Amino acid sequence: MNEKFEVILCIVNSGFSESVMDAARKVGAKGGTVINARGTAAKEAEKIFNITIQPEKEIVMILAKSNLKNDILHTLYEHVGPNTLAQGIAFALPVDEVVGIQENK
Amino acid sequence: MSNKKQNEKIKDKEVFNKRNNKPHPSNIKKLKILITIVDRSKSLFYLDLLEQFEVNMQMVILGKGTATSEMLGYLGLAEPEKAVLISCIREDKIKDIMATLQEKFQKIKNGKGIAYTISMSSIIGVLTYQFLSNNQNIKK
Repeated sequence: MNEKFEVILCIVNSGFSESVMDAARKVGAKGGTVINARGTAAKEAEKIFNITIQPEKEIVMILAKSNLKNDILHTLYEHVGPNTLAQGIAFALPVDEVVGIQENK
Repeated sequence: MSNKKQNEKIKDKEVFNKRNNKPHPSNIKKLKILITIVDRSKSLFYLDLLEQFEVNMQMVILGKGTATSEMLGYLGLAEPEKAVLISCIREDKIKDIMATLQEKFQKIKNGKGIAYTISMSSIIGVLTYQFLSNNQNIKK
């Protein structure tokens, strides 16, 4: 397998993983894995206002070919970016060896 | 000729090791993060499999697949519930590990999965490095 892959990680508010996958699928992503996570950004505010917020997040992990990366990141920014309800952050990491991906016929 | 050169190189390294009381930089193997996504029911199997390759630290995260049901049937994947295994592996083991994983992905029933590696750019702490690389020879 000579093709280069990248893993795209997208952190969104809980419940938006479907929107992430819908957006990513439009530009050619095949599938992803969702992990539940918890954000830690609002600590200061929590102390000041004496309330607790459960910052539930979901991380969507998409392994995609490098040539799809830019399209996917752009679409994610548009559909689930920081300005939307999903408040998503997306980034890509280069990946060295990949096994287990079905080649398209 | 090339053999002689190689021997000289090895000798140089040994001299370096003795003189500096620490291993030559090229003796230090790099570490990589291996991420394996498999069916949840197979997570223990793959953890045990990876442990054979001198992997000292592994983590499991429970995840969920997102492929459409149509795609699931096409790929022969059974359940959407997945386990994400994170293992810290030594560079020289990668070839073996990837070959083994590929074989298991194909041969084992419901054992399909995806695996990839990400290189680690830096790490701090000799003990940490020794632990993660299972290298018991480095002198502190």
